[in-house]
Amino acid sequence: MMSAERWDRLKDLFEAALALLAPQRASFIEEACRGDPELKAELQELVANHEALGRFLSGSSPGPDYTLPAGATLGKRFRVVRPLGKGGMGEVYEAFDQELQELLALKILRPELALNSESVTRLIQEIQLARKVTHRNVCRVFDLNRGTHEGRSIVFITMELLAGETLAERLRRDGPLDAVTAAEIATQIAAGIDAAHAAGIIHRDFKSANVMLVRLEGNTTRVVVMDFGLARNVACNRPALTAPGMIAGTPAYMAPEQLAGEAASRASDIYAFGLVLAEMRAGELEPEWKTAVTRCLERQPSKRPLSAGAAIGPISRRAGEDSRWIAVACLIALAVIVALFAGTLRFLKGRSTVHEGAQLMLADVVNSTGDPQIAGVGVELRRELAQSAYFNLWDDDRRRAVLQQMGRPADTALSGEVARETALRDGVPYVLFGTVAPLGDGFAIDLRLEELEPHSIFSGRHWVFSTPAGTRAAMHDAVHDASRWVRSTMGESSKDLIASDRPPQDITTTSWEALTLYAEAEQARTRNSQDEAVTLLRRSVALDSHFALGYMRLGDLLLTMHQQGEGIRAWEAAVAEASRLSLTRREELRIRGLFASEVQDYTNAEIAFSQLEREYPRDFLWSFYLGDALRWQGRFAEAAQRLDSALRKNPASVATMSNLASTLLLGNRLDELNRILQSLASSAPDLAAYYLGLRAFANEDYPGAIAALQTAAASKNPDRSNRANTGLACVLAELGRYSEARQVLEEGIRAATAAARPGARADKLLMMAYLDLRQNRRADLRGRCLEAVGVEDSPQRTARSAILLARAGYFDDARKFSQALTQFPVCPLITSAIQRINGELDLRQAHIASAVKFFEAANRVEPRVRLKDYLGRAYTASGNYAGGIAAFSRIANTPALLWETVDFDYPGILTDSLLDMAQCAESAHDRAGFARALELYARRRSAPDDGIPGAADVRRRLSNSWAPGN
Amino acid sequence: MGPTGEITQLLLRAARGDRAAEDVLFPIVYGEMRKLAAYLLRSERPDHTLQATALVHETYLRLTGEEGIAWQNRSHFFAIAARTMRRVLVDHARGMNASKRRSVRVSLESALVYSDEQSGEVIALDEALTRLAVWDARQCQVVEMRFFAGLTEEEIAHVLGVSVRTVKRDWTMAKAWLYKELSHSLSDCDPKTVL
Repeated sequence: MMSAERWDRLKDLFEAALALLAPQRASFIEEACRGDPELKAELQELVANHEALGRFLSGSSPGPDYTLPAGATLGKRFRVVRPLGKGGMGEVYEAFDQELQELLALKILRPELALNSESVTRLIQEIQLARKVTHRNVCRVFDLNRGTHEGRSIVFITMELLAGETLAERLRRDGPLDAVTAAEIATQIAAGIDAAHAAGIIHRDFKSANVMLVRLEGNTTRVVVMDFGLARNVACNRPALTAPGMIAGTPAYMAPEQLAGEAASRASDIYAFGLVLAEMRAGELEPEWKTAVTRCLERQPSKRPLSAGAAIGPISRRAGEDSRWIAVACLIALAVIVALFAGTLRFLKGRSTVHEGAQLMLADVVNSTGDPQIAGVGVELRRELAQSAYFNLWDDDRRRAVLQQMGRPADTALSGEVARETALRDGVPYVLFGTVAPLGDGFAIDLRLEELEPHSIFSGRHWVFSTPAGTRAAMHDAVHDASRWVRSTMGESSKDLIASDRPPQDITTTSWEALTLYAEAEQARTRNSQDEAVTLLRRSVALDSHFALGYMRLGDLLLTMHQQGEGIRAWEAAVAEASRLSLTRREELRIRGLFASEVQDYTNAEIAFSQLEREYPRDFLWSFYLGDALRWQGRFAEAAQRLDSALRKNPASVATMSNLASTLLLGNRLDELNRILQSLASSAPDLAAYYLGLRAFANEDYPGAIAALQTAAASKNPDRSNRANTGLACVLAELGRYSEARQVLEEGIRAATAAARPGARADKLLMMAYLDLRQNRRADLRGRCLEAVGVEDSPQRTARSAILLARAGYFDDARKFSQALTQFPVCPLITSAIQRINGELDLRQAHIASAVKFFEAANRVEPRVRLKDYLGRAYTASGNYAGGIAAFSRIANTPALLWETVDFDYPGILTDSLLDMAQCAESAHDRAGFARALELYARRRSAPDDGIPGAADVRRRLSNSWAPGN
Repeated sequence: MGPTGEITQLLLRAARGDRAAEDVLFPIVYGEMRKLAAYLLRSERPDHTLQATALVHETYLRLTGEEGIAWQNRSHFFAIAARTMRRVLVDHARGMNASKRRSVRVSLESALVYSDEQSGEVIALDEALTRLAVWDARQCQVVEMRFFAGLTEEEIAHVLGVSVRTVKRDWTMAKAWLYKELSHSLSDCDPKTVL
C-alpha cells in the first residue's frame, strides 16, 4: 500500500542503503524497516534489483549498432553470419558465400564514404592491384561488390577470412620473441611485403597490428600481412576537425619522409618493417638483427634495403643455420579476427575507435568534496593523461586565447557548456569531465568522456566511469585507474599503456601540500600572475625537494621572466630529479632538451628533441626546438626541414616562421626565404621587416637595411621593437656610424626603462660598452659593464661583460666575474664563457700561447654558428696567420651572421673583424687576402664617423709597412 | 520571421517557463516527429531499427533549422521531445501486431533502440512509467528525458531545475523500481531485455 509519505520514505531509505557497502545493506534494511514488513519487502526488492542492474549496466559504453544484422544477404549471394568489428572506414562481418559455399570476410564502406566517388575510384584502383597478389603471406582480396540493404546502396569488399591473432596481440600477451621464432615470422612477412611490392602495391600503414598469425594444422603458423594500400585512400570523415597538414597513418611507424609530408613509398614500408623487427625482439640484439634494423631505419630512403627480403638476409641465413623453426607454441584462437582496412582492430566491447592523435580536453575537474587539497587530483589526472602518445591532451595554455575569442574573461572555469564550446571552437573532438565527490568515508572520481559532433553542440557518444570509493590515501590509485580508463577508452592499445604508464605518485610528489601549492600556481599562471606563481612554486619545492615537476615549472617561469640564473638552477634541479624517475618521459625529455638548449649544449638538445619528435609527432614544438638546435650547429638544411615540419603542424606559429627565416638567411637559401617573409608579412609584419633588414645588410643594401630595421623598431610589440632597435644600432656600427648607433641605443634604453625591462636595458648597455672599447673610452666601458651585470642574475650577461672588461684591461673585475660564473652548473655556456674570459685576459697580457689554448677550447665547446673572432685575434697574435685568415674569412663571408651579433655578440664586430683580417693578411704578406678584406671594409665603412678608420686610412697605415715590389 | 524563427521564439519562451508556449509547441513537435518516425519505421523489413536520439535531433533540425542554438533552449526542446517520443513510440507499438515477440537487447544508458518486436515491452514500459508518475513525477520525467531523448544528467538537471546529484538519485531509483515493475508485468520475458 503506497502513499506519498511512504514513497518518500522509501526513497530516503533506498539512498541510504546504497551509500553503504553491499554486505552492510541487509542489516541496515532490517533495522530501518523494523515493524513494517511491507516496506521492508519493497526496499529489499528495490535494492536487489539495483544490484542486479548495476552489474548489468556498470561501465557500459554504447554498444555498436551495426548496419547489417545477422542473416542479411547482400548481392543475393553473401549472407551475414555475424559482425566482427569496426574500423575507421567501415564495418567488418563474417559472411557465408552461398555460391561457393565458404566463409569469408566482408567489409562494407561507411555510406558517407561510399558516396564520395573519388574515394571509391581510388579504392577500386588499389583493389585491382591487390587482387592480383596471390601469396600465402598476403591477405587475399577477392572483389569489390555492391549490394543493397534497406534501400541503400552498399559498397563492400570480400576478403579472405583469417583466424588467429595479430602480431601486436601476440607480443602484448607473451612479450618479445626469441631469435628463431622472430626470424621465421620476419621471413614470412618479408615475403609478403615483397610480393605486394612486386605487384606495385605499397602498404602505407605497415605495423605489427597488420600482421596476422594464423595457426595451421600440425602446429605451424602462417603469417599474413593485411590491409595493403587500402588504409589511406579514403578521406577522413571529420573535415572540420582535420587540421591542415594532418598526417593520416600511424605516426609511430611512419618513416621520417612520411612525417615530413612526402608520399609513402616502398622505402617507407621498409622503414616500418624495420620497426616491427625491433618490436619483435628485446634486449641486446645479435649483430645480424642490429644490422637489419639499422639499415631499415636509415633516415635517407635511398639508403634503405631495396626489398624486405634483402633487409633480413643475414637474419634468415643465421636462423637457417641455427635450427629449424619451432612451431609457435601458444596461439590462443580468440574470436575470429579479420583484416580491417584502417584504424586499429577492436573487440566487441563497444570500445571507441578514436583517431590516433586526436585531441582531448580535460575540463576543470570539479571538486565537490569541500576539501581544498583535492585540487591535486586535477593536476595528477592531467599529467597521467599527458603520458599518452596516442592522443594529445589539449594544451591548457590555449584557453586564454579561445576564451577571449568567445568574449569571456580569461579566468572562466572550463566546465560544462563552456568547456564544450571552447573545445568546439578549438577543434577538439573529445572532452573529459571529472568530478571528485564525497562518497561514504572517502571520495570517488566520476568521469564522463564526451565525443563532440562537429558543427553542433549536440553531444555525440559518451562514456562514463566511476572509481570505487577510496580515502585520500588511495587517491593516487584512483587517479591511476581513472587515467587508464580514459586512455583505453580512447583506444590506446594495452602495450602503449604499459610502455608509458608511470603511477601518479612517481610523477608528482608524495606531498599533498606541495601538490596543492602547485595547483594554485597553475591557476595563478592562467591569470597571468607570474610573480605569484613563482612564489607558490618556490614554497612547493621547499616542501618537497624532490618535486621535479615543481622545479620544472619554476624554471619555465623564471626563464620567461628573464631570470636566467635561478631559472637554470631550477631546471638543473628538475633534470637531476628526473633521473630519479619522477617525471613522465615526455617531461623528462622536454626538460633535458630545453635545459640543454639554454646552456648551448645543442648536441644533447638535438638528441632529446629528436626523441620527442619521434614519440610525439603531432606536437610542433619538438620539431621547432629540434630545428633550433640544428641551426646552432650550422646544419642549416636539416634545420630548415625540421622547421618546415613544425610549420606544417602549426601553420600559425610566428616563432617558427621567424626561426625559419633566420635559418634560411644563414644557409643562404634566398628563394625560400622570400616565401617565408611573405607569410610573415601578413601575420607579423614587424618581424618580417626585421628579417628584411638583416637580408638587406647581407646583400650590402645598407640604406635598405636601415630603413627596414627602423620600420621594425617602430613595432608596438616591446620585444620585437627592442630587438630591432639593437639590430639597427648594430648595422649603424658596422657602417662605422658610431654616434648614430649610440643614439639609437640610448633611445632603446629609454624605451626599455619605460617598459620596465631591466634586462633589455642591460643588454644595450653592454652594446654601448663595446663601442666604448673600440673608441678607447675605458672608464665608460667599466661603468656600463658593472651596471649591466648588477641588473639581474644572468650568466650570459656576466660573461659578456667580463670579456669586455678583460679586453679593456680591467683584470680584477674580469676575474671576479669569472669566479662568479663557476657557481653555475658545468655546461657549455659556462665553460666556454670562462675559457673565453681567461683567453682574453691572457691575450691582453701577451701570454699568447696560453690564450690560444683557452680559445681553442672555447671554440670546441661553443656552437658552430657563434662568431669566433677571438680565435682569429689569437692566431694572428701567435703568428698563425693561416689560422687567423681562416677564422676571419668565415666571418667576412657570412654577413648573415649579423643576426647572431644582435643577441650574442657586439655591434660592428663583423666589420671590425675585417680590419683584423686585413692586419693579419698584412702580417702574412698576403696581398690578395689583404685586398679582399679591405674591399669589403671599404664598402661598409665608406662614410664612418671621425675617429673610426675608413678604408683610405687603413690602406695608408697598413700598406706603408710593405716594401715596394712585394 | 519565417517558421523556423517562430519555433525558436516559442522555445525560448518555454525555456523561461511559459506554459502557453509549451502547449503550442507540443502538437507541432509531435506532428513533426510522428511524420519522421513513420518514415523511418515504414519499411517492410521486420528488423528495422530506430534510434530515438537521432529522431529527436532530426526533428529539432527540421523545426528550428538551427544547429547552434544555445543548449539551454535545446534542453527544453528535448524535454518536450522526450514526452513526444514516448507518445509516438507507444502509439506505434499499440498499432502493431503485438504477437511478434523476440527479445532484443536495449541499453538503458544509451537511447532506446526500438524495433517492432518490442512493441509489447514498450507498452509495458509506458504503463509502468505512468504508474511511477503518480508517486514521483520527477522520476518519471528523468526517465523520459534520459531514455527517450538521451539527455545528459546535466541537461536534465538544468531543465528540471535541480542538482545533478538529485538527477542521479532519481535515475538510480527509477531504474530499480521499473525493473521491479516490469518483472511483475512481463512474466514471460526477462526485464533486462527491456531495460
